[in-house]
Amino acid sequence: MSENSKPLLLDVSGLSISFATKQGVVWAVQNLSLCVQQGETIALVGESGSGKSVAVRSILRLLPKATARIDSGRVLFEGRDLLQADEATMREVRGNKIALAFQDPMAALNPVLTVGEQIAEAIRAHEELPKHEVRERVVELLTLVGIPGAEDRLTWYPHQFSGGMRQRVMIAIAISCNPDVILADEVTTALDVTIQAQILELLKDLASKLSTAMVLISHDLGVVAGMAQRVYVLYAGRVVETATTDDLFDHPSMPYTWGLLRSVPRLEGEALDKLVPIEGVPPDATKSAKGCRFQPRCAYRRDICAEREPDLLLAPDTNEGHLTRCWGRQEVTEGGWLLATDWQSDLGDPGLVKQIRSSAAVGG
Amino acid sequence: MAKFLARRAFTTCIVVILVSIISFSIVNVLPGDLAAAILGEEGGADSQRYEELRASLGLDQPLYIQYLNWLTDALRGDFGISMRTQEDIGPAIVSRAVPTIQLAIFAMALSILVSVPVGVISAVRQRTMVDTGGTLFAILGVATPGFWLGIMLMLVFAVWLRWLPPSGFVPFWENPVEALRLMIMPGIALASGLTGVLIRQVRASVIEVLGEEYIVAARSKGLTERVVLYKHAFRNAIFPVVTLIGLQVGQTFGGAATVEVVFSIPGLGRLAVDSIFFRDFTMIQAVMMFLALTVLLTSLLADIVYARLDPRVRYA
Repeated sequence: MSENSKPLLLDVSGLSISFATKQGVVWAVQNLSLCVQQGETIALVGESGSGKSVAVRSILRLLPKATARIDSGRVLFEGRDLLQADEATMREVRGNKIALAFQDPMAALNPVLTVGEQIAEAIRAHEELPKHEVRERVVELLTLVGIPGAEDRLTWYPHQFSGGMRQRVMIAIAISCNPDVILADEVTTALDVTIQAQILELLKDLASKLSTAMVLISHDLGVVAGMAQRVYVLYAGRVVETATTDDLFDHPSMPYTWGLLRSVPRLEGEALDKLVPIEGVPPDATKSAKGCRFQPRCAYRRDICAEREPDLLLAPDTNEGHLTRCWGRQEVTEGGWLLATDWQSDLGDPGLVKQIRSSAAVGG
Repeated sequence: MAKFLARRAFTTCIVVILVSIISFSIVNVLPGDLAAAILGEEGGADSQRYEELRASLGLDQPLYIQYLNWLTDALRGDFGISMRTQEDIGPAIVSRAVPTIQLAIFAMALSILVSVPVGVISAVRQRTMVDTGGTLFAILGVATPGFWLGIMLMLVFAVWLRWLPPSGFVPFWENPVEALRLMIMPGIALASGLTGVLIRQVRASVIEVLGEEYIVAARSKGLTERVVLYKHAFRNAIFPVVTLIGLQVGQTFGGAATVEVVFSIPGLGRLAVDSIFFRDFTMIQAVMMFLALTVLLTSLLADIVYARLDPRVRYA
């Protein structure tokens, strides 16, 4: 998987996380592995409930202690396994080395503290600075994220800002200690489209200016396209495909990724192209099934798919580091029937599509 | 803020007027009138004295005139004369209010000092033995009648152990040590119910706030758990508690009556109880007004505190 010689910053391997809920155990993340190189941006893509947020929060060990359990895995950062680290070490890492930016800034900013204070406390948690220097840093940060009149807005409260401005404050907090990695958890989802573009531009800009690595979480492949160097597609808590961004868009290698790409509007190409939805609903995470997790919604499925879960293996005829979890795309006995499929023209078995649609309607 | 205060002051005035009408009406809906009550059974038979007294008390005037007279006198601090003791009602109430206010403040302070830490710890240690203990303590507090608790305390600490004086009252500024010694038992008796209610509220609102995203965000900055709890969680959890305290002031003043009787404290509650037994209408009327005003002013105060604490209200 070594595409170039940049040192590995964050190395997550074999991560499995479950939640104890009233409905039973929810298997949120299963055997997830990913790595981030210095200054690199990677993206985790998947539907809501696919385990993206849970996975990144577990890196900082921010999951609710009462219900969440990390069943297995390692999170190597600076030669240490963060999952085994003590509370003091974690506090040192949080915000300082690895920062988290949240989806909804209105919920993630404390309503009764000024934004100046909320940024300042992040700095003070890791650096002992005289008061006026902290203040200068805060003003600097607010200016850096594009908030005009930063000096006067230190004493403002979150509710006095617009949504886009609040997200800028959130980002200012994330970069306040110049972290090595920013975990950006759906940071644009709560914003309208024009503001989304501004915030993405800002993040991209800051990441390159500060040479910060970034883990971008999104359910929107369009958001990911211009930002990340590598993409991990998640389905039901598992990585189902990973590749460099260009490779993934040029040679998507399994039916779920195809489905995602078909449901993203494209500017190039024929205007008459219809968006094709992925039929069915995500699986119930409290139930474990033996086959491929996507198989119930897959219009290309065969018998083997329901019997055994495929491994995440190198996809044939693709670049190095392009892995996929699909029997149809792997050269194994009983598998490989999708190797020659053109995903843009072949939408799978129409009979299966119908069947999936009607069973989802009954189930829902 | 000025606008907010003006609005609150306005509604407070309206409620005061309503309360004054109600408390004035009490005297007039009861059979017999003030003059008959003052003259007693024998004097009431003398119709000339009765008419004279009615005229001098202004009772021969129409009701609304009587009400306005009473109101203008009341606004000047003149509530008339007690039928029972013949003393001026204004000064009488002020002197009897001192012990009650002192006791109520002591009880509320005690209540807050106990319930906030117990509630916060219960919330943080949710579903542990500590939490169960806190809940048990809270329910016991709510379920135990104040007067019974007072008598039990008196039995144990004054009669058996002889650690505390059994009853009496000393103003705090005259002898702080003795005043505290005298207030411990009635204070606990009066605080128990409030403490139980507050523990439950503090616990519930801390648990709710701890589930908020900004708590995760605070942790993600690398703040210590203590800072997260007190700076981020507690400041948000306190709002419903402030409102509840404001609402409970009236309850506490009401509860003071029985506790005052048990501990022989010459307070407003006892004054009210005595006045009711003696049909001392003018006094009851004034006590009602005073209590209503106290409740209104404290809830206004609670709102102001709330607004000071919550920037979203302050700027609204």
